Amino acid sequence: HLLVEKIRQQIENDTFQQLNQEKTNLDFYQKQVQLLAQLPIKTARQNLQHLSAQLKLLDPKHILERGYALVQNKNQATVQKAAELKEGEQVKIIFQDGAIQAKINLKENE
Amino acid sequence: MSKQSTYDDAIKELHAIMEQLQNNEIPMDELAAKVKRAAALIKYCQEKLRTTEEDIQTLFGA
Repeated sequence: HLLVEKIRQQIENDTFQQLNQEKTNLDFYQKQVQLLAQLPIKTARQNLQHLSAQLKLLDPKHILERGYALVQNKNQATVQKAAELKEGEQVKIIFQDGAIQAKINLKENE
Repeated sequence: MSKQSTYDDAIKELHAIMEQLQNNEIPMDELAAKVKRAAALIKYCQEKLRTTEEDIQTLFGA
C-alpha cells in the first residue's frame, strides 16, 4: 500500500509539475508575442516619419519658404538656366507669398 | 481551433509565428492576423491545460 501510495504521489507531482511548466511557458509566449508584434510597427512608424520629413524637404512650397523663387517663362514653363532667357523677355517670378511679373533688363556675363 | 488540432500542433504553430516575428518576416498587412492567430493558439492551449488539470485533479481526488 505504501509503495503504491508513493508511486501515486510521484505521478501526481510530476503531472502537476508538467502542467505548471506548460502554464509558465504559455505566459512567456503571450508576453513575447505582444512584445515582438510591436517591433515591426515601431520600425514602420519611424520609416514613415523619415519619409515624411524627406517629402517635406522636396516639396516646392518648402523650397520657396527657404527664400528661393521660381521663374517661369511666357509659356509657364520653369526656367532652369539664365541662358534660356533673352533681354526684354517677360517672366513670372513666384515667391512663397505670391508672384510678380518682371522684364529681363540685362543678362550678366558669368 | 479544430478538435483535431493537438496541443503540440498548437505549440508548434505558435513557435513558428514567434520565429517569423523575431525574423521580421511578416508583411505589415498580415501582422494583425498573425498576432490574432497566436492569441487564439495561446487561448486554446491555456484552456486545454485548464481542462487537463481538472481531469487530473478528479483522477487523483485532489
